[in-house]
Amino acid sequence: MMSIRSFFICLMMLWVIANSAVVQSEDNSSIPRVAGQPEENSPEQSSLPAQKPTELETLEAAYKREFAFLQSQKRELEQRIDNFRQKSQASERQLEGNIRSLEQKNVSLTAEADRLNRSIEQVERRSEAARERNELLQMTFKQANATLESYGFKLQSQAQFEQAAPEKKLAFLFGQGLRLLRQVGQVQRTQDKFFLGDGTEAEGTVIRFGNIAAYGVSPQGAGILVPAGGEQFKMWSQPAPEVAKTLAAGQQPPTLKIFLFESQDQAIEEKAEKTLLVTINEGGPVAWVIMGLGGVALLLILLRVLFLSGASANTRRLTQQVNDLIQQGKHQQAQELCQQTRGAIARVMAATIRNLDRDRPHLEDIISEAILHESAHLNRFGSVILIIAAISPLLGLLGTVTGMISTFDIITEFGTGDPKLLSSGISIALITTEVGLAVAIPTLFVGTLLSSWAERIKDNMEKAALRVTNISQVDKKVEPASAASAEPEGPLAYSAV
Amino acid sequence: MNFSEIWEAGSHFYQAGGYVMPPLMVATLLLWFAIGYRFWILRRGTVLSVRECLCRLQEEPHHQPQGMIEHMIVQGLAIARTRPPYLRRHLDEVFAAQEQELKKFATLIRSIVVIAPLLGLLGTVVGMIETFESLADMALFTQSGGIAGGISQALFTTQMGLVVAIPGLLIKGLLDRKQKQLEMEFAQIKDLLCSDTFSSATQAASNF
Repeated sequence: MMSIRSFFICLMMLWVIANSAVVQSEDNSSIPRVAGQPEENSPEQSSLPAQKPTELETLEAAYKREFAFLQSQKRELEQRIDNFRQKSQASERQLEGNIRSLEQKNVSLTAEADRLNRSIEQVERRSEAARERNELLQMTFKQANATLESYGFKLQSQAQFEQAAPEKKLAFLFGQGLRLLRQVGQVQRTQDKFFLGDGTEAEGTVIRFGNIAAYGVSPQGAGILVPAGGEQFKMWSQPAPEVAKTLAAGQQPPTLKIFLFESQDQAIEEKAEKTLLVTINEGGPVAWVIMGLGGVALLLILLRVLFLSGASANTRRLTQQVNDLIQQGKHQQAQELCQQTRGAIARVMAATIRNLDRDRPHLEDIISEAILHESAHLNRFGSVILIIAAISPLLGLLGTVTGMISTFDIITEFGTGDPKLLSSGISIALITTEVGLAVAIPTLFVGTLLSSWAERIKDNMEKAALRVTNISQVDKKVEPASAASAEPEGPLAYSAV
Repeated sequence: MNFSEIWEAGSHFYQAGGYVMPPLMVATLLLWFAIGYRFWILRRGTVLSVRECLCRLQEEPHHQPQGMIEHMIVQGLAIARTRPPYLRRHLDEVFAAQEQELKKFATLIRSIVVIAPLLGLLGTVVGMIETFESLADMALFTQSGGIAGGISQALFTTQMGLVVAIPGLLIKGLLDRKQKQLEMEFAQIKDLLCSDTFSSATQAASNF
């Protein structure tokens, strides 16, 4: 087939070279015509090459054949493409179906995995809860055992109890508890042995009021029983035979003397009342040092109050009297008055009056010297009191640190298991701080107030001396000129201010 | 919230604080009394400067003095008119009483402001001791320790101490500044009265 095609192509080439113009027109017109009727020409395809027609006919026929051939080939190819398409579509559909089914499978498997995970979590939670409950149960058993054991019930040693299921155990515990309550709540009479007051053992009736009190009656003696340790009773030192006997006879005594105890071998522990001394003692040596300082501060404060009240005694009255005397020119009497009166101000004023005839600058020097002399006395102990107020909180801090160190020593030795050990150390540590602050606060307060009192006395001293000086100087200067003075109020109008 | 509820809450707090509360309350009352007193005393009385005030009062001798500055100027002028020797000394004497008045209760306020937080701290320590003691008394498996009570007491007293101290501190600063200013103005009055210009002016005024 291919050789025939190439033969025709060669022919065509020759013909084209020979008369290109004719072919050009022929070629252009022939193609639409051939394209219009491909089926009609196709049967001639095989017969045409065998004949020898004219050149034009031959060429047209060759075209037709070629066209038919190509048409058929195209059809064949299209058919194959269709087939292929159909096949591929089928396989695609199949694959898609496969994918879908796999996806579904995947989804269902994931759901299954989730469900399994959830159930695993649930199981874990349940096991955790069960473990916790188990721990709680064990703790309850231990606690119940500890509680009941003190009343003489043994649980742990009983093999029957150990092997029982938890519900049974709990039921048993509650049963025991109820029995104990009933037993504790009633009056029992037993024949038992107890010790008399002189130490001899006697046998007789023991009447027990639950688990809080007991009375014993025996031929040798009767009375109230108290725990003696080792689940034994002994007679109380306070004799009350008639009460015990009346109770033994089943009657109610007119007055029920009673000794309460916690259990058969333990009396009620009375908590010691915390006095100030006990508290300070808990604070250790540092607390005592602080208290000593506080005592010293108190003493100094009292002394200082004495000094200051002595120094400032009846200031106002004295200054008024002295001023009046000076104003009247009675210097001698004023000085005597000052010398008779106690107090720093009186002394300063006496010194002032004694030197009134000197000139002013000299007099002022004398006054300031006298004030300086007095202020040394007034300032006495002031700084010591304030120093004590400052150092006592520091000492308290020192005690706290010491206490904390001992607490940490306890931790190193015994670990942090027992809160009692730790907290006692810490509370001791804090007590020193408390004592330090309790000493510092009043000392600081009173010390500051006393300092300001001393300052005020110094101010008053200065003022009193100044006034005495001023009055005498005014007298001296103004009296000769008073006749000429135009002031109607007089020179001392302001002295009452 | 009516009065009885406030009273109840207050008394609850008072009891919660333990034994530091009575002194703290007394301190608060003293503090506010002292602050009120000082506020009343440290009134300047005039917006004029000292020099202007002095001139005005010299012109109207029968003016009723208002506040500390005018009061002191009137007194100072009365003395300056008598023209005593050592005028400054006489002024010093008259002003001394007022200067003492300026300082009145300043120390009390200062010491209360210092001790109020210390009292709060003391209450805290007492509360902590209570807490640790209740922890020490706690028996095996008990749920009812007194921990929370002690801690709340501890924190409450500190809070209370600070509540007392902080406003006191703020107002103390204000009052101290006022006191300083008044002291300076007193010194200025003295200087002005002693200066030559004023002594001549006083002479002129007294000659009317």
